Order: sequence, then C-alpha cells, then structure tokens
Amino acid sequence: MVRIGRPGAGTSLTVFSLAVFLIAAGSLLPPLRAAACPAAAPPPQDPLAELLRKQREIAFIGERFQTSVSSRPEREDRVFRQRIRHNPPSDYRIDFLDLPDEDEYHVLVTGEKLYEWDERDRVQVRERSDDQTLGLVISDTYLDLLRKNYLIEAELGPEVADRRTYTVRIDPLYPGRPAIRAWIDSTYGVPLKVEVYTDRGQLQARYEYTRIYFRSRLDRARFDPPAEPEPRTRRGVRCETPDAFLDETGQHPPLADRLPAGFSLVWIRQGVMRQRDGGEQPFIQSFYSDGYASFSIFAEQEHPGGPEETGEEGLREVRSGQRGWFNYAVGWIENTKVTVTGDVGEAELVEVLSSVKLEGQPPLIP
Amino acid sequence: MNGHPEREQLTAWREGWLSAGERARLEAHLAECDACRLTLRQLDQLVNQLRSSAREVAPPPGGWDALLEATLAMRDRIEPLSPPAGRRWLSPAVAAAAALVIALTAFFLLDRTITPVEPAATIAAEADLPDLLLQEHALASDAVPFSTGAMLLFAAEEKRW
Repeated sequence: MVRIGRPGAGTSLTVFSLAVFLIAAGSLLPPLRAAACPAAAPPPQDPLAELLRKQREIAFIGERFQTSVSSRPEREDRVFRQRIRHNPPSDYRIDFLDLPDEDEYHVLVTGEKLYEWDERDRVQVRERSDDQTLGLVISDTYLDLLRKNYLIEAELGPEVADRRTYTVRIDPLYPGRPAIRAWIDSTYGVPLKVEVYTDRGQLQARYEYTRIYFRSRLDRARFDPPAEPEPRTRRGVRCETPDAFLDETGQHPPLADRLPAGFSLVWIRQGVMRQRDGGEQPFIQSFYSDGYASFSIFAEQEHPGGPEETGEEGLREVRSGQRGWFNYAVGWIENTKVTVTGDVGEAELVEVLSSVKLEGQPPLIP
Repeated sequence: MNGHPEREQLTAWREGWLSAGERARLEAHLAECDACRLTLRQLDQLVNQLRSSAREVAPPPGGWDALLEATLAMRDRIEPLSPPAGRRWLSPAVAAAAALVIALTAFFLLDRTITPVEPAATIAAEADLPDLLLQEHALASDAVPFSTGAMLLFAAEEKRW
C-alpha cells in the first residue's frame, strides 16, 4: 500500500506513488498559460517529468459507460455510452451514443476551440481557456490541493477493460466532501474507471471503459470540427492572483471572506457571455477548489433586469437552489449580480455568498 | 434505450411528438418489452375513456393558450402550503371538484398538441442561474482531477444553449 499526503506521515513521496498519483490525475498535457497575465513561478523539477511526458503522448480510442446518479427523487439515474478519442497533444473528442430519449451529442476539443453539437446540427463553439480541456490538463495547484485536503492511497488493482490497473483511493479529510475511487492503466496512466461517492457513501457518479486501444496516432480526420459553428462565449483575461488581475484589468474581483474547509482561490477570469440575442454580458469569475470539489463566484455588473431597473425589492434577497449537478446561491450587491455555484452544499454556498465583497461596495450582508 | 420509457415518453410517442431517432428506439424497446406494451394499452384505455366521457367545451375568452398562460402565472404566485399536522381526508365536495379539474385537465392535455411545460422550480432556477454561467463553471470544474465530466453530463442531459 502506498500513501500520499497522509497526515503525520510527512511530505516524502516515493517515486512510485508520485507516478501513480500524477498519472491518475490525468496529467496528459503540459499546462497552458494565459499570455495576458504575469507568468507564475515554474513548477519544481520532477524526476518523473520525462516519464510522464512520454506517457501522455499516447493516443487512444475507447468506449466507456458513464452513470449520473441523480440526487433528486424526481429524476432517474442516467447512463451514457461514450466513445472517447485522444490524439496528443491537444485533440480530444467525446461522442455520447445511445442517449436515452435524446439525439446523439458530441464534444470536441481541438486547437484553441471547444465545440459541442448534436445530430440536429446545433453547434456551439467556445475559445478554450487554459485548462478547459476536459480533464486533460491538471495543474500543480489542483494536485497540491488534492494532497492537502484528501488522503490518497494506491495499490495494484484488478483488470479493467482487459488492462492492468492501479487502484487509487482518495478520501476526504474534511466532512461533507466526496470520496473517489479510481482505477488507472498501469502502463499509460489513463483512468479506466472512476467512482465518486457522497459523504454518506452513496454513489454519485461513475464511469468505466469497456474497451480501450492505445495507438501512437489516430487519423486526424477523426477530429475535424463541425461546420458553421456559432460562437457563444469567448475567452477573456485570466490570472492566478487578485493583484495580477487588478493590474491586468483595473478591476477588483469578487472574493469571499468565508470559505468551506480546505478551499482556496485558484484563478480569476474576466469573460464575456455572448447571448442568444447577439448581446454581450461581461462577467468576472473567481474559481475556488479543494482539489476535487469546486465553486465559482460570478459578478455581473449592471446586469440587465437588475433590482434598480425592475424595482423588485425581492431580487435583493439571497436565493438558492439546485440545477443538475450544481447548487447555487444568487444575490445582489448594488447593481452587481453575484452568483455562487458549484458541487458544494447549498448552505455552504449561501454562506460563501453572504461573505462576498466587491471593492468600494458594501457587502451583501453587512 | 436504457431502462423502461416513462409514461410521458409513451404519451409523446402516441401523439407523434418524438423525433425519428427517439421513435425508432422506443419502438424497438416496445417490440421486446411486455411490461411497456401493457402500460401502453392501459394508457390507450384511459385516453379512450376520457375522450368518450368528456363533453365538448367551448374555448374561453382569449383561447386555450391564454388560459394556460394565466394558469401558469397564477401557479407561480401561489405560496407553498405548510404540511398538515395530521392525515386529512378531502371532503366529498372538494374531492368531486378535484376530480372534475383532473378530468378536464387530462382532456385538455390529451386532446390538444401542447408544448411540455417545465416545473416552476426549474424555470425559477434557470432565471437565477443562467445556462451560460452554469456552463462556464462546469467547464472550469472539468479540469479538476478525477472529474467525471460534470459539464458533459449537464450538456448531454439538458442540451440547452
């Protein structure tokens, strides 16, 4: 049994455990960095860098089944069959097949774009942000947070999709957080099976490859984007610290004074949402994570339909709820709409929202 | 098709609302599933009974669509009731009125082509948390280690943009 980041065990990591851990985290691509922001310090030299670089150059095509276990009684569990293709360094495609009651659905990451489309040719395209690569890019920041907030153990595991695996157990050190079990390919490091459990031990999500084939290269035509995409959002400025963000944009980001245990600010981004009607809505997004769970704080200044325009006093109240996988809480600070959303408890998000401060404006709840 | 179709899907199939792909998948399932064929027959019987027992109702002023919109607007303004202290039975008059409303509603829904209406809670949630913000966070969260693709599952389930 190999233990990583165990409390009281110090920070010494064996070569084997670090390899297992980094590979399991899906570190298949070198991190991209926002050119507009000051460069962060380079990561420390890792004796496994050469090995990892070699391994993440592998191409593969596989088929996996993914289960979404609904937390709401009125919604049934969903099972998706997916075909996954990866061509190093940055081409990745997922085809959702045999969707219950839905058309087929596709996601493609290639170059600087992320495309989504379905069989009715409804196409959406975004400019890819630095780490919006469907889990292929894992930064050292996330790994450090995961080591800090979770207990990680690895051992030789059973075969999955006829491949040898290592079993990785990731258990939270704080209450209310999920537990993760992952089975990673012992040769190429691709997670072949992942299960996520709630703090009550209930299965929340899982996926498992039934077939996977590794290649040196896949046909480039398998990653051709769909025609006539409609841009919806575009990339903005992204920085890793509030000071860098202020220097770059001249704006103060929305920051929370009170955070759930283990969470840290990871980055801040200024973006623009391109609406269906062609209009644009600027926003600032502050992204927090504990290494697995995450939430964002969005601030939309002079949001149309705000309390000043509608005169509805009720909009000043904090409202909260759930959408799909995510809980949310929303409220107003003067004319700025503040939204907090993520896979964190609803009450915790309300607490976060109530502590959000915008420079020069009174807090939501003094 | 994974699992059995819901009654809403069977109704949609009866009314011809499904796409070609959805229809083909459901019909393939029906060909192999005795339980779903039985459910479909029961649904046929219910619809036939309702249609044969309901009398023709003149459209209200402004038409059926105006009535539907007014009803939905009224529903959104209704405060949720506190749970009752104990189990109570409906009075016969209230039960009869409720049965009439249900029958008329069923007749209305089954005899007309309508657009499925989402629950009020879902509509309110979308107003609070727009899809675009949700997708922005979901995309970002997919970069976190061992993500199971929340963005992908959300998009595949909701597919609204």
